[in-house]
Amino acid sequence: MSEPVLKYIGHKASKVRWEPVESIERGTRFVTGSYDDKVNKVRLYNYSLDDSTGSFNEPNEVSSCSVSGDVTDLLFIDRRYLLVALSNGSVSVIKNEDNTLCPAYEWKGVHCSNASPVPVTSITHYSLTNDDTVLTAGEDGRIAVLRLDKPTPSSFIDDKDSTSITSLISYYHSEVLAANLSGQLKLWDLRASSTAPAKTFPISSSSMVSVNCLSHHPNQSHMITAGCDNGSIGFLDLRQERIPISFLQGHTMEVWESRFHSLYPDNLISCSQDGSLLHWASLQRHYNRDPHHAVSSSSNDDHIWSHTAIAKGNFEATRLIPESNVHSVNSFDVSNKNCVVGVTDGEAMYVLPNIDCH
Amino acid sequence: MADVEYDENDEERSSASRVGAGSGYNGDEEEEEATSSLTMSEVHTCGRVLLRTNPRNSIAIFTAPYDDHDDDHSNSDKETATSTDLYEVQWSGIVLTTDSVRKLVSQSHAFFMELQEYAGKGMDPDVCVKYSRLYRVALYECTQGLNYECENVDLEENELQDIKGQLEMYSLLNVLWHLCEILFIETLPVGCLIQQLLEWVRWHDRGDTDDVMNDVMSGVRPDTHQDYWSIVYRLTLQGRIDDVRKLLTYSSYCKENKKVFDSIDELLRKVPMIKSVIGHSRTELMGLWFVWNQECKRRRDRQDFVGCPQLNLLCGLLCGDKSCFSRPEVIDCCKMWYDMLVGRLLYTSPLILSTDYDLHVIAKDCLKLYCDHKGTAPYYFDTFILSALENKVIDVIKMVSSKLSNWWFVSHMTNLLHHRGSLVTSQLEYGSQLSEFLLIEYATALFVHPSLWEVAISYLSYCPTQGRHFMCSLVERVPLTTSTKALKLIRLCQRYEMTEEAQSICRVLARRCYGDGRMGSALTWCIKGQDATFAAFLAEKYFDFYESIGEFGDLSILDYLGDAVLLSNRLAFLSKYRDFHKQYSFGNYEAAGQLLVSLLTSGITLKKYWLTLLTDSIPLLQIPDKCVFSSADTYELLHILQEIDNTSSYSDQKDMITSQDEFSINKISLLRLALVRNLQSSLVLRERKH
Repeated sequence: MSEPVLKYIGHKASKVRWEPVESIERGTRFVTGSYDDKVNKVRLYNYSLDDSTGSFNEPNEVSSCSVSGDVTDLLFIDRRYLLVALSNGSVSVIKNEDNTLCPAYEWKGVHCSNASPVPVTSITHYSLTNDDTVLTAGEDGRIAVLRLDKPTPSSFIDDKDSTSITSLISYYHSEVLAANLSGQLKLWDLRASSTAPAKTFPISSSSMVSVNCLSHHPNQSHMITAGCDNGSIGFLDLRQERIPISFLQGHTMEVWESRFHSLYPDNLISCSQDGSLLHWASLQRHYNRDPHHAVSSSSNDDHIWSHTAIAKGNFEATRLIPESNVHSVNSFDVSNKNCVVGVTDGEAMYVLPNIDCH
Repeated sequence: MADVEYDENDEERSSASRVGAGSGYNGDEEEEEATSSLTMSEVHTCGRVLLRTNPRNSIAIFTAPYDDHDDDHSNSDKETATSTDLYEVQWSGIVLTTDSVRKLVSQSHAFFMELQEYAGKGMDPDVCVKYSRLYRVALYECTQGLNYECENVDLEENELQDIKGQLEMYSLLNVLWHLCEILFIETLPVGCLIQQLLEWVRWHDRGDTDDVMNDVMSGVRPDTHQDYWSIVYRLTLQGRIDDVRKLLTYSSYCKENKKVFDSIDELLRKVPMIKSVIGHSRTELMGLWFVWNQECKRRRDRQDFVGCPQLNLLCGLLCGDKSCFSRPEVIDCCKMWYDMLVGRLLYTSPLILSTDYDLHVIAKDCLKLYCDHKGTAPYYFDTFILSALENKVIDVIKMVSSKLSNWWFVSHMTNLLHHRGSLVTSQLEYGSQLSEFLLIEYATALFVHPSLWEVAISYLSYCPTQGRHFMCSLVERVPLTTSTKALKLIRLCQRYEMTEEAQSICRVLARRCYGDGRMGSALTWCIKGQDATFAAFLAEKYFDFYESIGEFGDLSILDYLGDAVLLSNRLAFLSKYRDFHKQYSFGNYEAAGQLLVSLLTSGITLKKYWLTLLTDSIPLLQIPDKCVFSSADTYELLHILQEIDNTSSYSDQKDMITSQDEFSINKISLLRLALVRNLQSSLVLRERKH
């Protein structure tokens, strides 16, 4: 594994996302969203191979576009459209026209409390297949359904529970899982007429632990990870009635993001307030596994991220960025060619051109 | 830039002026540097000016029209003076409008942190040199970035001027930093100072010697180029002897007079450049140089070069002849006066030490010659360089602090010098060490920017005397825009053990959520901040809400409180009460009944809720063929009912019974009846069991 490239970017970034590409091509562009600045911006960076030397050029800013608040989440609809969740309760659409970012539309005041806007915290696709509807969650505890062709939110899910939602992911066709500040996970069925969640359960029954992020396994979407504020990463299996949760301990403070590698799901990467970016991999790697094995497996214990494996501590964490970094790593993203970009509160960006994944 | 002067006669304003000056940002210079959107004329057209200071290095100014009796002040602008705008006048310790400067701030912060880490383990002078160089790299990258930003075609004219001003300042600071590094941070062996100074001059060669040299050499006959001799002198002064020799081969005079050329070439070839001093004593080196110098002088006195006055002058320079250095063509060839200085040191006293008095004398002389020749007064930056050469490090720090609106240089430099041990300062009047004082200034200047609170507080954490006080008061002023940011701030407070501040952040958020009617979030923040008082208050509000509506709002948090119930008795009560409802709805009447009795008897329930809880027992009392409460329990409940009845306020004043009281009285009698019936059946039941 090569040494991370450190680049100072002159602003604090809250999110970073690679532009979606076809699986065989190499992703060369990513976007970052800043927060806490006088004028916050979404910036497009180019990170490409220099054909003459065969090495990577330093990421350079290609274009930027001002937004009206702190960026709290970014979601690519496709290569041209990017949705930006903002702290002023709005959701902005940014268009990428020949590598130039320009604002296309803004839903204002999607999330409000007592008529004053509250931050939008998370934004996700409506379902794993539907592309023109997205869901947003806010600190008002509501979930809004936004259709890309409608100027106003089409509906809201409001379960009379006002705890801030911190993260939201879609699960199967019309179900959505939301995590909130007080550490509960709520599963909603969007087709149901009732506004009450289909299932509510706490991440920890013994004490209050906030969940900051959720993500699912790329090919087993019932497998969920939840990054907690005490530095642990929870693993849940939504298929089971009594949802079992096991934890990986590696960070010491808030886990801001934890995600499986989309092509090599045996690898998990997580970043935290404590300034670390960890790459988790199993100590016993199953090299000759049948690729369909995981999908067809009915026994949960065969799975690499099974509860038994986690409980046994069969995983090792590798630090991707040096320990000298004391600033929170707010976000990261992995490209399809194993290139990891992480952004920190130290106004710096770490780029790892090729991490070791199996 | 607004130089706000206050009218001495106007009491309001002069007192305001004192407010401005007394805010801890030492005095007059800063007021001059206040950047403002308010121009002087605007201030004058407004009537009274009210000022208020705040910790963000700014003052808020509210302008109000003159009162009627202030006739002497009234003027034709009176109508326009009825502005109700509030102005913020801010003086900046560092201008952070450009990305490049932001990068400098974050990069140097990283270096600063590492350096403090080293300093904790005992300081090695080499580490200081290393970090000084790293800071210089950051400065250099900043100037490169600013250079790049200048090329942006979309910039407005004033923005461009601003960036150019920044570029100029940081380039000069880089020159000064490098000089300070050579003079105060590095430990140089004898004879190495001059090499370092030559390196310094070459590195910061703002005249781009190479460009001129290439331009001269590119011609068919370089020696006819107008800058030919000028560049020869310049290269000589910079000690770039090989380039001088190369250039001289083009001279037509030298070509015609081979002997003369050989003579000067030999002198040049033999210039004793002291690169390595290992194995030589100062006397030896001195002797080496003296021999060469004598040879130069001998050849010049022999009038070897008299045929070509330029060549003669060149030899004069090599001899270290003072009159030659003051010749206009020599001064003209230098872009800066210190180019001249280093050249002169090279040929007159190559073994000079940074502490030598001569250094100061020669420097002063060069500056004077240069300024007289150019007909200008020394630029303020020249005085920084001069002070550094005079070995007056404190003066350099003082002057840079007072003349530039930039704390970056002084804070990092003093910190480095402090660790290097080359900064001897007495306790300052304002209660802290110089290095700490400057760090505080820099940190508060950074804090003005909305992004840099974390960096600012990190700098303050290295200020042992006053840092903590500043940290506490600044942390309270970071706007809490999102929960994520609040969590980050709480972590920051935890890192620096600012428990009270962390709690106050949670309380602010809890209150805000409560104000917005978001009870769930409010309670979550309470629990995060371990704020028992506010949690108790919220628990009461929850209960009141239940009493008025008949159902709980924001249920899920109550269901999963975990060990958070221990925070407050009220919260524990609420959680148990919620349990009671759950048990009841699941049909576990016995368990529900037991919970109710324990809630009432354990003393965690507020007296004002007793009646509500007892009322909840009615459905349990009326379940047919079932006796939920034992006789002992019923006695307890009756006892509680009696206590309610005794202490009720309406029992004293029978005439003033309200409908609410009447409702309660009815309830009490209903309850008494139900309880007595229950007692009866429970006794019967007990009898049967026996």
